Amino acid sequence: MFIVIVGCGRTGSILAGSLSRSGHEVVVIEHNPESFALLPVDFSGFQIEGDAAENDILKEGKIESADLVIISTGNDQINYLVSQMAKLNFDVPRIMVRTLDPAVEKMYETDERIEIFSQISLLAENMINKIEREGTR
Amino acid sequence: MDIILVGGDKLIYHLAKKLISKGHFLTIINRDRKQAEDLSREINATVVFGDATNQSVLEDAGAYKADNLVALTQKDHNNLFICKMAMDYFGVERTTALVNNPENEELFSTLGITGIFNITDLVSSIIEQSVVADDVSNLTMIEEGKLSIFQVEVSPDSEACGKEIKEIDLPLTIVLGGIVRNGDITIPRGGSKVQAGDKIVIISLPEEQAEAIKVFGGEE
Repeated sequence: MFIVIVGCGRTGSILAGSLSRSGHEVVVIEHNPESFALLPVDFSGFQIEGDAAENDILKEGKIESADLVIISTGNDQINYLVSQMAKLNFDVPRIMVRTLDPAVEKMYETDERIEIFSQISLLAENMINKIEREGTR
Repeated sequence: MDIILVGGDKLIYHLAKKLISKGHFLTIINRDRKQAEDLSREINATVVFGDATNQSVLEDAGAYKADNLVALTQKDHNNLFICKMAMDYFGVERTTALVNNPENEELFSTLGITGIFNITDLVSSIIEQSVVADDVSNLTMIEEGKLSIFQVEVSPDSEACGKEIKEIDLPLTIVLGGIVRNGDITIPRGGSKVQAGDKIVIISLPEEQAEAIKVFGGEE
């Protein structure tokens, strides 16, 4: 698969590293060039330095031919704008978005092509599942 | 009307005063403590100190009963987000956003934002006009610059001078609204003659404006 990842912080860099290791073609777009240092040494994809909220930068990352776009910056507002650009300006078939504040999850409710991953909800769910599985020991 | 204003820096003070004087009920959200304090002292409006991208801040500002929200921050992603949240979470019917990057205009309107101020294009077209032609005046923009109304003085060496309206070769998207001669106004008909020194009131699409100015004002 051809995957474009927006944001190369802790989350983006882990995703980029593992996905490229398992054979996917990966492009990472990141505003702050220092963040590329977080990528593992065996990362074999492309790095693009620039603001993903600009169409030209997304084009440089060949977003229009991406099978999947993962948006994982640490800012909910930027993530929302970029997800809508990917969907409406570039017609990307599948978009995954990281959300930080659980309050923003509802924004994506009617977006069919967009899947959201809320770090707080996932964490809470994981813990609750574990507690419930273990029962009242 | 109940209006929520977000951001806007220096502009907000004068904008708020104007809206209040027209009888609107204002709530201002500002995330700069000093600015919020100053506004609450100087302006007769509810001022909320906080980040409007936060659902609970919008709720505190009374978003449920607002008719209109205007987002004027310097960041397009914040303006889009705030407007969408106001519409989707609080049912605000009209939202207006400042667009700093002209490329976002279409996206914002597709997403349902009702009013869009493309500040870059607006300012540049106004500057362009004032630089290009001194003999053009009273320029007014309708619908955020999609239609312009302006006045051109007929120059003696122009293509139109001395001709009847019907003889002048004008694009179809240009409408003549009036001829001002010595302070009197006539509504132009096909047979009206254009003289040097007349002021022609023109309604046109912005892209045809230059053509209209050339025909009546002469020169390139």
